[in-house]
Amino acid sequence: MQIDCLKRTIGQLAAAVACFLLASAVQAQATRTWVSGVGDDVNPCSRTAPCKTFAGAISKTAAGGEISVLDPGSFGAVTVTKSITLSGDGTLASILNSGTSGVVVSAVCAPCDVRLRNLSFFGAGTGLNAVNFLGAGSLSMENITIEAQSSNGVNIAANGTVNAVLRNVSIRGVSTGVQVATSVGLARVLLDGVHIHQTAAGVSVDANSVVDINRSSINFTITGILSSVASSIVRLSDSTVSMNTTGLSATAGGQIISYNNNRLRGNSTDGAPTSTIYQR
Amino acid sequence: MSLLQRKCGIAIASLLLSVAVPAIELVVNGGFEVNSGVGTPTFSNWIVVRENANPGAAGNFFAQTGSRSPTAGLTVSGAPAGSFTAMADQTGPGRTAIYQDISVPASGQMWLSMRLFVLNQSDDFAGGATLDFNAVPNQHARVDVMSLAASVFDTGSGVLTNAYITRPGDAPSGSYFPVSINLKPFAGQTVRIRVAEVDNLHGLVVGVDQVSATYVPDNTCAPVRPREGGANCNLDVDGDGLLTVTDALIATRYLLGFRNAALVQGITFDACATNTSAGGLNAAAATLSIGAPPPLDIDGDGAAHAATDGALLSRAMLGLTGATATSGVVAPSPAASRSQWPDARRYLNNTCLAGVL
Repeated sequence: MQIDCLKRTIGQLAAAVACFLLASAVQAQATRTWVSGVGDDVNPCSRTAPCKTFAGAISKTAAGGEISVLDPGSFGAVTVTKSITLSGDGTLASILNSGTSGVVVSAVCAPCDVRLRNLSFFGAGTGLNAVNFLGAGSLSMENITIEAQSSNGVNIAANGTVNAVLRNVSIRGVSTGVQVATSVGLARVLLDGVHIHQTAAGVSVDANSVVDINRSSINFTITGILSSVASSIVRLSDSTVSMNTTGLSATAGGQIISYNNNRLRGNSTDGAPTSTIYQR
Repeated sequence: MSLLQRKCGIAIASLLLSVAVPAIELVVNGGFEVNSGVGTPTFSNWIVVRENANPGAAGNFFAQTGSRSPTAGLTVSGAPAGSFTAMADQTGPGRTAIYQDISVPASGQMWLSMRLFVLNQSDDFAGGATLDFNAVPNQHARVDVMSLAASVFDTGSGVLTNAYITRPGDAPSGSYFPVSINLKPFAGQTVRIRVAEVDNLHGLVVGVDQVSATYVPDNTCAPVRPREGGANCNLDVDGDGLLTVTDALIATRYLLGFRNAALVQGITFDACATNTSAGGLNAAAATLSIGAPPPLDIDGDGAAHAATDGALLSRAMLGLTGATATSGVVAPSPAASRSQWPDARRYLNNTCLAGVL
């Protein structure tokens, strides 16, 4: 009887210790962490003891926090399961993602808010997607270059409603520059200053998706812009679609709406918007 | 019939001829007040045609009221009369027309008039040769008298005369303004009155209201011609409601320096003339000769001259058109901005409501 009582006491003590340790681990996550080309993932990712990779830093960064880059370097692929910012502001921050995807926003990350700034993705020809967004919520990408991916530059295959903004993004040498679809809800994507070239497809818009393309260019692709199903809508404004095999392609009820201020010339087949409206 | 009877008959006929009769209206629902409701493209007695050949085309003439255009919601002038106008508006490139066919009597005086509103959202107007909205750039509005055999969007031989067309450099917007054309040359025909627009640069709102084609029998006095141009350029100096060679002759004589009795010597006025005194004609002609530029400056060189403006007006009143009207009269000159007939005609019709062909 006394032994049983002692066992229960020890068990409760162990549980209490575990709770304490877990609480300590949560408290260890910082709002801002740092990575450096000379860092180490065993470090706490602080300013004075930075980590080596984004993957190493993300577990030490609180949800909604930011991983900043201290100095030039390549910081590896990463899977995102919570809201996060990867920021290369002020330096060269690249992700070498040969054989894998650069940033994977996991399906469990729904809803979450992911922000990527000043990053360079290089897939060395075998990288899958530079950014693979599988969750829901929001995605912001600013000042990004993407190269040499075997699949897509930005792949949005969401499992819920997603709002995405890609601003000042350059994509080349991938299969599809920007691929958009969601299985649930609506994928709303703004491409502003996105320049895509030397890809199989430029922008491919699939199920339940609306994509606004402003001040962008799509060149040297097989299909510049594809709107492929009845629930896909592309609105095109102040953009150039030229020197592609096919400029615009709307199939199976997909819509491509031009604001009558685009430059659709010099493609083997220009194609045509399904409708043209005036900017008001 | 005795001499007395004949004299009495002549006297009665003269009395009848001098009695003004109301003009007869040839257009039905010219104010577009009878329609299927705000925002609908259906008007009694009018046919609205929009581009159907291209599914991407946009635009139509809609029943409009208030200060907003029907689809784009742009600020526009209100209806100049009544509550409604017919207003073309669109979300994207296209073309549209509205028309009504009227039977022009075989004799008498007939004038078409309307008020038009144009709001161009593009930097400028463009084109004009066709109403093909696939021919970029093409951004213009027009009013035509057409043959019934012509296709609705024809701009070729089916256009009997153009009453108004926008041109590059025109003001992008303004208030409703008058458009007028003499229908006398089409006496005995059934013609189509068409208002049309094409736009493939940006939005082009075209409103039309107060469409009227008035008719009075010959030798009766009724104002068939709109007098709205009078404020700036009323060429009807003898006040008979028409622009004729008589008006041109008096104006030209005045420019030559003839005054008072010399101004009217040998001229026989028709029974409808209301301004036949030397003093009255002197004053009317003087009004046309002053200003900077004066209204009689038809060739646009800044001044009114008998040898150029007077001759040009006289030829136009005689029915001469094209190079025949301008040849040997107005030499191309940087100073004369309207030395070509289309420019002179545009001035005569748009500013003076002369309605020449």
